[in-house]
Amino acid sequence: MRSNIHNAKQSVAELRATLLTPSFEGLESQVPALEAAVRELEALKSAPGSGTRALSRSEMQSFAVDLLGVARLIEHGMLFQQGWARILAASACNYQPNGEPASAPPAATVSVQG
Amino acid sequence: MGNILTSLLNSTGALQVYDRVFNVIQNNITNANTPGYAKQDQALVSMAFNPSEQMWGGLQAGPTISARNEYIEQDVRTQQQQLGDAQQRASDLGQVQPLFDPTSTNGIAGSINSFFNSFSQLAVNPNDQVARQSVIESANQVAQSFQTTSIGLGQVSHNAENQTRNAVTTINQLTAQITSLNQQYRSNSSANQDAGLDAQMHAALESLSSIANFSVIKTSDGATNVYLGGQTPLVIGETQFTLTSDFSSPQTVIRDSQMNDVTSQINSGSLGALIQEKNTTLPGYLAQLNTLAQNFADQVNGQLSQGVDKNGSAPLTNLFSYNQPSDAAFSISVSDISPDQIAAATAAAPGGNGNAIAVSQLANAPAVNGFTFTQAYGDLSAQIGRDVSSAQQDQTQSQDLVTQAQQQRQTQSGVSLDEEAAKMLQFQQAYQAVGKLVGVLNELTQTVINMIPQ
Repeated sequence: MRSNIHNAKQSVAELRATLLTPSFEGLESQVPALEAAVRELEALKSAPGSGTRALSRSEMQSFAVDLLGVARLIEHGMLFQQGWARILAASACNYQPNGEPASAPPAATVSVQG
Repeated sequence: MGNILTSLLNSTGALQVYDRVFNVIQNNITNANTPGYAKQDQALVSMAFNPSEQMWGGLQAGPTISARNEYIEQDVRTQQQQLGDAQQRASDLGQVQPLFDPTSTNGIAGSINSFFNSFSQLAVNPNDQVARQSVIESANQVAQSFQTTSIGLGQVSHNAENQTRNAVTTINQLTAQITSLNQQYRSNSSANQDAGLDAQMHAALESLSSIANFSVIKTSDGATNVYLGGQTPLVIGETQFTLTSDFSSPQTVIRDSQMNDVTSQINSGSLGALIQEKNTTLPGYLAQLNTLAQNFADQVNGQLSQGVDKNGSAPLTNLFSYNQPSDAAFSISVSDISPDQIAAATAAAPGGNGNAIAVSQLANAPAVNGFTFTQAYGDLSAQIGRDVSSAQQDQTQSQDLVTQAQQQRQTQSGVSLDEEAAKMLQFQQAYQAVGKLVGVLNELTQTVINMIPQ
């Protein structure tokens, strides 16, 4: 049981690191490990008291804080993407974010990035 | 011949264009670590090719395109505001926690225990002068511990005042800087293309965001208008509107340039946290401390007033006194009485220990909202501990959110819309996959919290 909960902690820590520098490849790669972590934690619910045997009080508290932190990072990332999607959708329809029509893009423009 | 000349002219033009491109790249490299700087791209525009009209094609330099996106900048600023708030709370509440150490023998809990123990000792030998003197000394210790804690809270409150003053000064300095930048935008039509000005403007806005919540509206002439709490103007074009802090009443008040009270509009950033602490959090702790001091003094005085002193007389003076309930912790003191005047006996049995026993039993009696004195103090200490812990957690999580927002800024800025639309879909799918687990994670957090041994 201790290894299960430690695996779950490890998965949550890795997801946190991924969410700090988000990339879709990184996020997708975390899903299987996170689903496994969820299964492991759900198993703890059906074995009352096992969590307290597996981890000390401070470890459990720190784990709960990590879970809350990861949930906040996911929520912020999702909100950001939703807003970004609205801006891009408006832009793709040739409108600016403030609702004003955008000026027509110049024809045949090449952009070199440095 | 014409073709060779044209080719030469085109080559010269292209070299000039690429010279500008390299300048832009050089600028990007030089300013990679400049606060507020956003990567610039040099757009290249093809020229018309129609030899019959002497149009020989080629390239010319288009506008310089900034990779900055205001939506992303706003997200970073919002997270900076939350971080500023959490950092300030963690720092200030960190000063409060040591004042309420429940394990300290010199603290309130320790001195209250010593006080009741001194009455237990007096009950063993009610006419012993040393035991009577010990009661007065331990009473003084209780009064002193309440005073020390109250003064400590006052000091934290005073520090918050000074920090508020500094925060308001910094806000005014930053808005002066933004006003000056606006003047440069308005006086120079090419300023919109100036990456340096843009960097200075955004660095100033980002610094401001850690202090207070505000909204930004960019005008068509490139100027930036800033509104505190989305309402009170701080900068409109070339005009600055300064803030002032007013400490003439117990509550901190922030006033706008018209001297209107705009305190309620500030709810984030370090200034938001300072106002919350000074006006709500610290007075809340102090009120509970005053209630405890008042109840302690009243109940001990009440019990002693029912007894008689060493000479069999009813006490003429209360052991404890304070000015008023609202400053009981600060003003509590021990009256100038002699050891003989301690009312250790009951009126029914002068020379006995009945009243000393009754006073010592107050230690275990419900005294404040159903709690004993030490339980009530422990409850207050625990509340402060929870507040500190919550502020520290918020600080860690807000730091993560700032890091995430800054990374998003780095990832998303300056990418073409086509590229971005495809990437956005992938991101959304990835977040949806992870997002499905948020509800489960929240539920599991509760599970983990429930597992924590009490």
